[in-house]
Amino acid sequence: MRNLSPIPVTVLTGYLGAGKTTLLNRLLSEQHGKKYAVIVNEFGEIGIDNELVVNADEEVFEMNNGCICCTVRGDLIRIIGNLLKRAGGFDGILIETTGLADPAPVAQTFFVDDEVRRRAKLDSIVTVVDAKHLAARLEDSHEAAEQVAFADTILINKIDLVSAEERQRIEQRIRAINPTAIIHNTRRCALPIADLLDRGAFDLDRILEVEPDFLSSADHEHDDAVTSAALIETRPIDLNKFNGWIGTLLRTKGQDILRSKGILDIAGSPDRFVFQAVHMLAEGDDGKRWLSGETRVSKLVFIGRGLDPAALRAGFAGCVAG
Amino acid sequence: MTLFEQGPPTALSPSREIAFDATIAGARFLSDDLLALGLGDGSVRLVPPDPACSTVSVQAHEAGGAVLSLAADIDANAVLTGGDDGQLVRTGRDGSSRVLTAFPGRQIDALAVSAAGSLRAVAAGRVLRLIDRADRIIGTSDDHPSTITGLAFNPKGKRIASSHYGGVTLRWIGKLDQGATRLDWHGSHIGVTWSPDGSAVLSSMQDSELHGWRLADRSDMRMSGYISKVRSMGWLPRPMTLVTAGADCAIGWVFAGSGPQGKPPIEIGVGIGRLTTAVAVHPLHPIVAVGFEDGRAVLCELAGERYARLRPADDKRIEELAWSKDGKHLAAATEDGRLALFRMPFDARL
Repeated sequence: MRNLSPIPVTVLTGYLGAGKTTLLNRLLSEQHGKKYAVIVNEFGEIGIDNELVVNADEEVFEMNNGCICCTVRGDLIRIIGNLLKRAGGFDGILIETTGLADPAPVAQTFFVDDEVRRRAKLDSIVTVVDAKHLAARLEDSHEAAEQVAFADTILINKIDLVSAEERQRIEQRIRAINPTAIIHNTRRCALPIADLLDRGAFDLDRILEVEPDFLSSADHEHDDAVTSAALIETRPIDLNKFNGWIGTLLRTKGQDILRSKGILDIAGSPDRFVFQAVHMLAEGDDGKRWLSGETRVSKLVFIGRGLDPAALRAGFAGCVAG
Repeated sequence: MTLFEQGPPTALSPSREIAFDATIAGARFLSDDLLALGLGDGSVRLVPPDPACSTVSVQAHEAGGAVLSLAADIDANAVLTGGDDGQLVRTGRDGSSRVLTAFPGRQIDALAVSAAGSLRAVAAGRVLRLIDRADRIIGTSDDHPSTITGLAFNPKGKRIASSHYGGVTLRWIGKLDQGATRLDWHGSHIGVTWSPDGSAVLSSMQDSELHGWRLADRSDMRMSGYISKVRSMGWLPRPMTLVTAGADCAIGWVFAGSGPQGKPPIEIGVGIGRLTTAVAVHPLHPIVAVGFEDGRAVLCELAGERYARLRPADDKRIEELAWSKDGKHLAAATEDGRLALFRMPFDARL
């Protein structure tokens, strides 16, 4: 009988020319003791013939579930379902997206489809950016900002092509969009594979490390720039109040809120409550137990366009128990 | 006529049980009650119902790959399997196998066979191929708007329906590359079936509902209320009833009169209260085998509340249920590779 535990999935995004193909070729050719099934896009250029490489046409479908921004990757639902029929044979799935892809439909696929959810879990979204050209891409393309916004891990690649000051500016720019991502500086995407795959980055623990006062700087912005807001609350939260507030917020503003994630200290619960959403699709569950002596706090991070930090803070404060 | 005795449900014991080391992706009986299975290790297994007879294993597809789709071939003396190696393979009951067509780098998960039309249809990506009895490719169509997710011949084998995002496309066999009829409905359609009288085409949708079209006037039918995608469908010819999985019991939509839209469906196997994952309609009697997500399988009368237990819960979902042609044997297969074969206590004269 075969083992049916959920398989970790890593999504690889990045603008054209950033170095995605280099990374993919490394993952497929290096000896790292793990075997990955790789779903490549139709414009991919990986030169490796491997039985575990599957070609996909990125077919983005609308769902009829009443969620107006809800699109999913129909091809992934099929391909992942098919891959999971294979008798063992691989440790994880890696999905390459095209350079111009919005990561939301890929991430939403893991929220929406029950069969995918049952057998696969989204481990992390890895975004490769080009140190030299990121600033320009953020100016001229929505997708570049979205790819940074959705990332759990960001590789600033071709780091040797920029000065120390430029490098610092890029990091600040990325942090303004996405305060929770793990950032690696790389040349030719060289870094240990273990830093990228099967990280459990979606378990959100890093949120607790985010500086609550870190609100994205207001310099250098358009009205439609992607920014972030991090909120902290030291008083315990009432889960019903939180569900009511976040539900309404995402229903009304979910098109502009790309991602939201949080760890909550729920009144009366010994466990952390972990919450995350992609646009309007949200899920929450009990997480790790609070350790005795640990300072219990609640933190929430929103990444999106046109965020109103004051309104978000007021709304979150309204969820305090009592 | 009642098939089951009054009182608490009876239980049938399997006549044969085998545990394989791979997912059972498909199961169909061939002639003489020989069961053909397609596995997640790329093999086809030929299982005689008699436990004294040994099982034959054929590595029909690339080792380590998986069978994704399976159908009995035109003559029922062979099984067709589509694999994630991009090959469509015919495996005979003697254990010989040969590749009928290949789509390199693609997964073959849509497959249909028409005995009436002596044809096989196979799809990968947006490409559909028709293959005749002599293994010649007699038609190709590559103008689908998106990936083909399901295929079904009409009962006479003269037309082929393919499901995809945005609806279903119908084509005439002889004119595959021209005059396609597009049945549009917004959303992702993941499977298709043709009614046994040829009057209607039904699709299963990603949004956990069925959509249908009455071909005479192209009128739409919507059948909703499911809690999951409908992955398994079967037909009872009279009264013409579509039986499906995807709810907390099997669902039967009766097509008599103005039905099925607007009429409540028949609920089959109510009371277990778990998601149904597979159904198989008995070829001769109004009896349905129903499989659940927790591994349970039961035999139900289409109308009536009694059922006979086939398989207890073990938390491994039933992936496939299949009847032999004469309805004497039933196969139940789980996603973790367990097979149970049952011999029915009633016979065709009942």
